[in-house]
Amino acid sequence: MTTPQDTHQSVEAPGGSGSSSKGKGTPSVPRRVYTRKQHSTSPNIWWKSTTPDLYSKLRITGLDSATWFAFDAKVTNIFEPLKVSESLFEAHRIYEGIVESFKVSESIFEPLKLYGNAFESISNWPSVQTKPALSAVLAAGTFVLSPSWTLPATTGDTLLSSLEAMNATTFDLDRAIEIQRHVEEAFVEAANEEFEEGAQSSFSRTLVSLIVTFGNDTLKAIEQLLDSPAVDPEVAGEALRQIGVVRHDDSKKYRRVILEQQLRSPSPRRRYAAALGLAAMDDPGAISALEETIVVEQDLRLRRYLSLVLEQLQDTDRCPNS
Amino acid sequence: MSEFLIANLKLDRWLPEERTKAGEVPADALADLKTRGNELSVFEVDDSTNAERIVVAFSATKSDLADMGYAVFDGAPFDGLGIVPHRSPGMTPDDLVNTLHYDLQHLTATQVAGLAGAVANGRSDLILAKRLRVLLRAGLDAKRLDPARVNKKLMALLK
Repeated sequence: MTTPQDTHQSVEAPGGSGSSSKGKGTPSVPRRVYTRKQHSTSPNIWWKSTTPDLYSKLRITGLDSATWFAFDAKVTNIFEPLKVSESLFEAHRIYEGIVESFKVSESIFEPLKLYGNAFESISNWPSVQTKPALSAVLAAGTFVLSPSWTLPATTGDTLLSSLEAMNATTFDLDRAIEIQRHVEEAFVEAANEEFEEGAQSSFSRTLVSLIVTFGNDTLKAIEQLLDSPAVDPEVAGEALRQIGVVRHDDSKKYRRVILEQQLRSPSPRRRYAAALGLAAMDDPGAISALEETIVVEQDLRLRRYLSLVLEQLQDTDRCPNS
Repeated sequence: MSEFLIANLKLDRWLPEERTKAGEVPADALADLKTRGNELSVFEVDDSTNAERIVVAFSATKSDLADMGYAVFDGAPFDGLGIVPHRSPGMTPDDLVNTLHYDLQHLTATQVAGLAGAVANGRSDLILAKRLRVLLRAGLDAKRLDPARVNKKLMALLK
């Protein structure tokens, strides 16, 4: 098994000082060295495009599969223009302790097309199919990056802010997997539970406990589960309510983001539950999202319920101590 | 026939999904009409009180402060469904509300399905937990609610 530590040596571009396969001479890529020490100091950091690290390693950690796919397309962007002479490099995907070695040939990165061949090849990885939640990838090998390449703002900012929102600048994969497992188990068990207004459920207690203990890592796991069409609508609704009910300031921003996202769900049940979650949070910051939802809401009864939540938040905005 | 109120509804269960035909009630709504001993509790809504007071009194029996959905529906379909409301004292901490309590007894699955249609055709509404807290406190202050009969866990939350 190859570990990151084993491979984190200075990487020379093939053919000497960063020559490209197009034979256009030596690109003006600064020679960068990513040392063992750097890795041990910050093993799981998302490196911005301007950091030297990207010139020798590409490391993506803690991304959900959708983000990974999006980034994968960016990987395509990175490598396509180079056509490095030895156009093979290895991507090691580390998942649940299993290291999958994946040989990526030049052809995979051609033609340059969003969600093209690379998407298909990555999506064929067994663990992506069964457990889309977490990805840790280390792409290493004999390559150089295009000197002109920078992470496009739209993609880069989204990814970075997403990670920042998760407070996941550093990322512990084992811990995340463990939390994911706990959350999944809670959801599965909850499918057999009967939920009733005015009575705490076992599921709600578990969920609140997980959020309070693990904060945004729990929310990330919940967010990913909510993306699954297999989630019981009753359980999803209960989860959204509890996301709003739990008192945990550190995760408040991320909780509101999830609830506001669910306001745009095609499922009226999700929209309702998200609104109740926002009512429980009582954060006037959600007013605009609610207003936008109400404007387009077709179901008159649901619009009435959403309006009640909006009125409450507007009251809170006017009188925060109400 | 009078109007009746049924409380403790999870209103999302009653929202039609994309494939729900007009006039149909989503099957999940039946979970809100769960019978015990083939009975269901409803309250008559008359002029002397209001739906909100009933819902507050009912909520006072619960252990947690939560959003409370309810529906006020026409009792006219009872005859056609063969449902005979049986007046019986309620168990809420509000004596007036208790006089408005009815049991729908000896219900069959067919009758419950019919009742779901009646409820779905009624006026559903929601009291959010934050407002419910205010209303419960007001009920206690005005002595409409007997604190000794309010759920103890809920009382602790109201303090």
